[in-house]
Amino acid sequence: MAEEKEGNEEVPFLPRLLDNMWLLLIVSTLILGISYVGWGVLEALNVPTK
Amino acid sequence: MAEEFRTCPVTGFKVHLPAEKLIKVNGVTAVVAILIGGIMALLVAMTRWETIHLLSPLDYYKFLTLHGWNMLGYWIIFFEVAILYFTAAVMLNCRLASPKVGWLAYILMLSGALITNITVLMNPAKNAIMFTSYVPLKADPLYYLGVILFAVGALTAVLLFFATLHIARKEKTYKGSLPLVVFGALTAAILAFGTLFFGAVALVPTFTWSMDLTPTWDALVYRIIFWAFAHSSQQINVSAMIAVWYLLAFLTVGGTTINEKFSRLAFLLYILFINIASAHHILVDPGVTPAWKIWNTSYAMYAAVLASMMHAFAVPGAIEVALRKKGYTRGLFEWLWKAPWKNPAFSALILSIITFGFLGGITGVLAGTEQLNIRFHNTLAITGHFHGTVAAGTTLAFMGLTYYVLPLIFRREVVGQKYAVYQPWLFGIGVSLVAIGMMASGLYGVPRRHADLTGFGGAGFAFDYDPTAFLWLSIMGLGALLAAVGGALYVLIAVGTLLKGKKL
Amino acid sequence: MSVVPPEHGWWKQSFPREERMWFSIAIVWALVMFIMMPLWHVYGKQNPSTETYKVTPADFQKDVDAFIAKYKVGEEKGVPVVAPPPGSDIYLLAKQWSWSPVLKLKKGVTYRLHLSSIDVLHGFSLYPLSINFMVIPDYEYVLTITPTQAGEYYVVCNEYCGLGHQQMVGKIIVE
Repeated sequence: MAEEKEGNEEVPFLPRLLDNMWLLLIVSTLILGISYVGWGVLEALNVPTK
Repeated sequence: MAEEFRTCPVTGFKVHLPAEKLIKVNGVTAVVAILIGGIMALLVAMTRWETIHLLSPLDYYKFLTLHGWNMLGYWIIFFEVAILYFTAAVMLNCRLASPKVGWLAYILMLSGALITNITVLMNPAKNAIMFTSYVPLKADPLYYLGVILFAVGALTAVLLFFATLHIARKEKTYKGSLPLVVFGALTAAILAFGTLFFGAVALVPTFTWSMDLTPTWDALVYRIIFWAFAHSSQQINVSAMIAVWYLLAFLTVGGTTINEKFSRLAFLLYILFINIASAHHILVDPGVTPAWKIWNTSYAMYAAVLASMMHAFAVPGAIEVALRKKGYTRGLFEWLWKAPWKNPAFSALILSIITFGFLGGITGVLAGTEQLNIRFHNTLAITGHFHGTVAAGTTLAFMGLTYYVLPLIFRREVVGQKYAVYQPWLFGIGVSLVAIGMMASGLYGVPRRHADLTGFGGAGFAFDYDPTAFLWLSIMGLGALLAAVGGALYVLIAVGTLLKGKKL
Repeated sequence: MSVVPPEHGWWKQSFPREERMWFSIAIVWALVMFIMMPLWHVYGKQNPSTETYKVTPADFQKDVDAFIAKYKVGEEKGVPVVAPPPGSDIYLLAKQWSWSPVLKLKKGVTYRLHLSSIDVLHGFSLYPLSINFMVIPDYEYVLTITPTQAGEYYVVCNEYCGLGHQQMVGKIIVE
């Protein structure tokens, strides 16, 4: 994890997020999984029969 | 482990020797793939050029399927794996987490590539089902196995990249945040994980179905999940290409982004939003609502297009600032005229930016509009779009990078340098004409993946296309010939350098 | 330098004026493009259909056969030609490797076109307008269409569907 304090300075949220590759990996895959795959497949599975 | 490293005399990077071996083998395999894919490209282009109409339908479908796999799959991804190892190990002065795993990844990828090539070549009637391999078209189980092995191998390489980054941080081989180029590679690797995860979800049940172990599954659901794999894989290419742009801007003119925060934020937008735009493949499909289509295809309000615009500013900006610093400050454009155009890596970089942005990117945003897609879907215009992005843009960037990989990694002087000056132009202009010819004929309704537009196979209904459509196909054909010369020159120079280049 | 770790505190760098200007233009343009898509649903005349039903290939074949039986007026190249009444539900069946039936429609009239496949994926591509839609087995896609110009139109399959893919051409006549 990136240092949260260097000297007296606190590293703000943005660089800490960008330095956290595992969090980025999870969020990226989740967004793809939910917004595109999950929502899309749900709609396809709920198409009404004639 | 000191003997496992060498220090690069040019850049000062500590190069992990086992990592370097893996970079080399993946790079060489990539060049072999573009050679094979390129020969198939020529065969296929000479068939779509209706005047020549070279191949029979069976041969056309066979070579088209393999042109897709060898180019989009093997050329691009073997090269990207080399980039991943270079950025994680060499640029961070770190050891590759496990060279053994790297070799496992390579063997899986190579086996998959060979199996897919062989199954399609040997039984095209069954297995030439195109790169998209849409259910319910059913190929031999071995075909799907080849794809799965390749994907598992690529995923292994991606995980090795993450592991190396983790070690680099733990062993403190670098201080602070990742270099921007490595962060761009990380973006590509993160997108690759999502890509390959959904690739497994799409292809494993299809593989078991091909062996009659599981029932067939919904064609629309397959399409949705398949494109989470296949379009996301293109976004890996975008991110890797842009990371290479920053690297080449540095290597050719000493340029760097004017603002690290700006460029990193742009990569963050890719990480979050670029993959959901895979929905643009499903815009004229039944079953999904406009809300889903509009939200996803617009990358959730064009967030990723915004990111591309940011890089489109930052990379040329980096080049201009660097050249102005060198003293080329007269007028608005002296820096551009006085840029190192004799360096094929530089011309490749510029051509990559221009073709990716103007030919590929713009047509992509157009075609990805819900309503315009009605005019574009499955026409040759779509093929034109992605020849602008990946056959021109990404390929040119990788070709440009090769001119540094040869002296710095293979440590051989590039042969035929006076021909190399022209190589990116021949290839770049050639592929641009291919893309333009495809886009223009596509808008006349010319379909993609079609073996006979003149006679339609002789059975049933037939008609004559507007002659202008066929004129554009001829332009595409001429462009393909030019691109083949540029591509052949690239392979000749690369292979020639490895065999005959002066050792540095 | 983009090839080495950035300076500590790189996140504190402010964006110079040119970057902020470029970013503002880009973000405004992105939002304009985004709003256009739903806006066109309200004000535009051409949008992908939202009407879809699940159907089995057998049931779709039955509906198509009934449609052909009711409105058949002839045959062309072995394919039945049908002239359905204005405003009606019309059917087009895709299979390896043909489109059936041939539709004879009237200019200026609205129809509900039902598309499906009884085997693999196919692509509906109307020449010369280049109007393109996916045709997916098990899904009945209903497009509300109004021919605006008389003439002979051809339906080219543009989704690879097997070795006879290049033979798959249908016909729509508008009078």
